[in-house]
Amino acid sequence: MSTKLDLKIVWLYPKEMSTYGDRGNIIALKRRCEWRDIDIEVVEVGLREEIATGADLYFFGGGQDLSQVQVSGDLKKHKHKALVEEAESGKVFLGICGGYQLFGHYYQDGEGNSLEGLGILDVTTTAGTKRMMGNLVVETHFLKEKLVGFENHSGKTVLGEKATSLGKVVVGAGNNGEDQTEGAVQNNVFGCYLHGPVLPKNPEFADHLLKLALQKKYGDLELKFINDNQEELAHESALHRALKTH
Amino acid sequence: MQFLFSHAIAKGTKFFIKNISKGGATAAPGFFSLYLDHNILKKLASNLETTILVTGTNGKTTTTRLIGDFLENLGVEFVHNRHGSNLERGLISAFLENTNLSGQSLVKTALFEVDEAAIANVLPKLNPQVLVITNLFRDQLDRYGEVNNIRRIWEKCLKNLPEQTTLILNADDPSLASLGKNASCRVIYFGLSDKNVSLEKVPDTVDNINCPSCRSELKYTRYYISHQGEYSCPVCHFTRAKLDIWAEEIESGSSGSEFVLHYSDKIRVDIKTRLAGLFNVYNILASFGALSALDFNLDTFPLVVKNFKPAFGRAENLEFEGRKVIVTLAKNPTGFNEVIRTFFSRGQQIVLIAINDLIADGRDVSWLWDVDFESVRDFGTKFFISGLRASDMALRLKYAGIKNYQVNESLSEALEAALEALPQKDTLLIVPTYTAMLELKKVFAKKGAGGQFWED
Repeated sequence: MSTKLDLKIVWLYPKEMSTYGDRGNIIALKRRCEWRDIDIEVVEVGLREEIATGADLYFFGGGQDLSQVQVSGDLKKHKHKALVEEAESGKVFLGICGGYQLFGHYYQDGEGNSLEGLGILDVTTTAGTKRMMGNLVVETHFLKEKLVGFENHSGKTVLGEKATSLGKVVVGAGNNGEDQTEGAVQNNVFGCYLHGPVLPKNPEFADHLLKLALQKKYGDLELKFINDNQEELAHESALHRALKTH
Repeated sequence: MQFLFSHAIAKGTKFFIKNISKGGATAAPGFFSLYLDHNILKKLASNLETTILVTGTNGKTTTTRLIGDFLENLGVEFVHNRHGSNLERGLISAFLENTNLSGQSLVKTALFEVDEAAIANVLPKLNPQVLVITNLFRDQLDRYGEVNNIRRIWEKCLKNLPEQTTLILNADDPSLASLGKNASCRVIYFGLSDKNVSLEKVPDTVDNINCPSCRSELKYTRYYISHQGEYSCPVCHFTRAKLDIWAEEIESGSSGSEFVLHYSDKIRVDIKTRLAGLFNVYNILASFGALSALDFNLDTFPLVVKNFKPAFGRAENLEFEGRKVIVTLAKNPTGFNEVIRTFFSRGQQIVLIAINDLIADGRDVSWLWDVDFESVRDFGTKFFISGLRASDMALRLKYAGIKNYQVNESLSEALEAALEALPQKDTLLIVPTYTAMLELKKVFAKKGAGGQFWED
C-alpha cells in the first residue's frame, strides 16, 4: 500500500521579491505536484515573520534594490538561524537573482555598503556598473537539456571554493559576464540568474528539485511521468529566440 | 551653422525616407540630426510659446491624442509626435514637418508623448508649460532595469523644473503623488472617487505599495488599478493628495464609459466615451488636467471626448468583413489584468493573444506569469495564440489550468482560425503586444480592411 506523498514549500517574501514573473516558479512547482497527485502546500513568509515550521523546499525570488535592503535586514533579524539550519540539513532551496545573491555571504553596492546574506552558498556579489540583460542559455552537468531564461542584473557574483556553478554559459553573461559560469549549487541549495520564469519552461530542472525534496523526505523514489509537450515547445522556442537574438 | 547643417540633413533624410524608400520617417531624420547636433531639440523649440509633455507607463498615447483632438477642435496649430517615436529623435522628427529652412518652428504650440526614461534628456531642452505623468507600473524591465529606476529619474528631473511648469499628477499612484509633494511648481492632482469600481482585494503583483517617504506598508481603503487607489501611511501619515480633478459615478464597460468629472468643487461635467476601461477614465482626467492648466475654455471638452477616436489597438470596436473585432494592446501585467477585467466575460468568448519579444515589446516575457490568467480559468474562453513567443503564452495558459487553446505562430493564420471559430454576432477580442499590434495592422490591411484599420 502506498501512502500519498506531500510536499511543503516556503515562499520567502512574495510581496517584496517577485518582480520579474518569478511567481511562475511557484505555480510550476505546485501544478507539477498536483498533476502527480502529490499533496502540496505553499506557505508565504513575509517581513517580520519567523520560519514557524520547516519545509521541504524554499523559494526566494528576485526584487528591486530597495526591497533587497529591506529583506536583508529582515532575514538577519527573523529568519537567519532557521534557514541556515535547514540548508545545512540538506533541504532544497532555489533562489533567483536577488534571492540568489542573498543566499550568498553578502551583496556589496557601489558605495561599498554591504548587505548581509545567509551564507548558505559560498558566493559573493558586488554591484557592477553595467546591467546584464538578455536571454541566457546554460549547459549544466546534471540535466540533459540546456537551461533557458532571461537575466536582468547588475550584480556580479563570484563563486567560492565550496560552491560549484550550475553550469556553463552558452548565451548571455551569467554570474559575472567574465568566467562563463552561471548560478551556484552547494548541498541542495541552488541559485541562478534565470528569470523567464525558469521552472515552467525547464521542466527537467523543476522535477530535479521536486525529486530531491521528496527523496530527502521519503528516500529513493521516481516521479510519475507527466506530459510535457507544451513545456518542451516553450523550451525549444525560447532556445531558438535566445540563439537568434544573441 | 552646425544647427543649420544638421537641420538640413534631417530634412533631407525625411524627404528621402518618405518619397524614395516609402517609410513613415518618424524617427530616422531625428536620429541623424541628433547625431550631428545634441542641442537640436532645444533650438527647434526656441520659438514655442506652449509645450505640453505627457509621460508615464500606460496611457501616454491616448492622453496625448485627447489633448491633441481638443486643440485641433479649437483650431490651434501644433507640433505632435502623433505617428510614432516618443524618444528624443522622434520629437525632433515631428518638428521637421513644421520648420522653415532656418530651422525655426512655424507653430507656437507643441504636444509630445515622451518615453518615461527619455524624459530626463527632453525636459531641460523643452521647459514645458505642462507635464503630465500618467502612472508608474512594472513594464519593460529589460530596458529600465527596475521600476524604481524610472521613479528616480523622474524625481531627479522634477527637481529642476522651472516655476512656469504645471505638473499634472495621478494622485492615486503613491509613487507619483509623492513626487508632487516636493515639487516647487504648481501641481494639479487627478484621481478617482468611486467605491463601486474598487477591486475587492489587492492584486498579486503590485509595486509601490510601500510608503514613498518612510517605506512602511501603505494602508489602502480602495484599490482602483493595481497599486492605484486611496491610501495612507499609518506611520508617517503620508496620504493621497487632495484631488483637483476627479471622476465619480463611473459606469465602465467593454464598449465605453460614462462618469461625472469634477473640477475643484465648482465644475461638474458629464463625460461619455467609447474608450473602455478604468485606464481611460484616468487618461481623460489627465488630459482635462493638462488643458485646465493652460486656461482653455473647456466647454467643448465633453464633445471632443465623445467623438474621440482612439489609436489603432486601443480598444476600439471595429468591423472587419462584417465581423466585430476589438484590438487592445497589452504590454505589461497591469495592462493585461485590466484587459481581463474590462473585456473578458463568461461564455464561449473567442480571444486571440499575440506575444512578441522584440525590443519594443520587452525582450523578457516573464511578465506573462504576473498576469492573473487563473481568474478566467472557468470562463470557457477559447484562446488562439500567436507571436514569436506563442509557446510561452500557451504554457502560461496550461499552468493556469486552461486547456482550450490553439497555437499558430503565423498571425495571419491565427486570425483566420479565430474568425472562423467566431459566432456571427460575437466580438473577437485581440490582445497583442506592441510589435504584434503593428503586424496585425498590416495583416488587416492585406486582407483588405477599410480605412479605420490603417489610417493614422
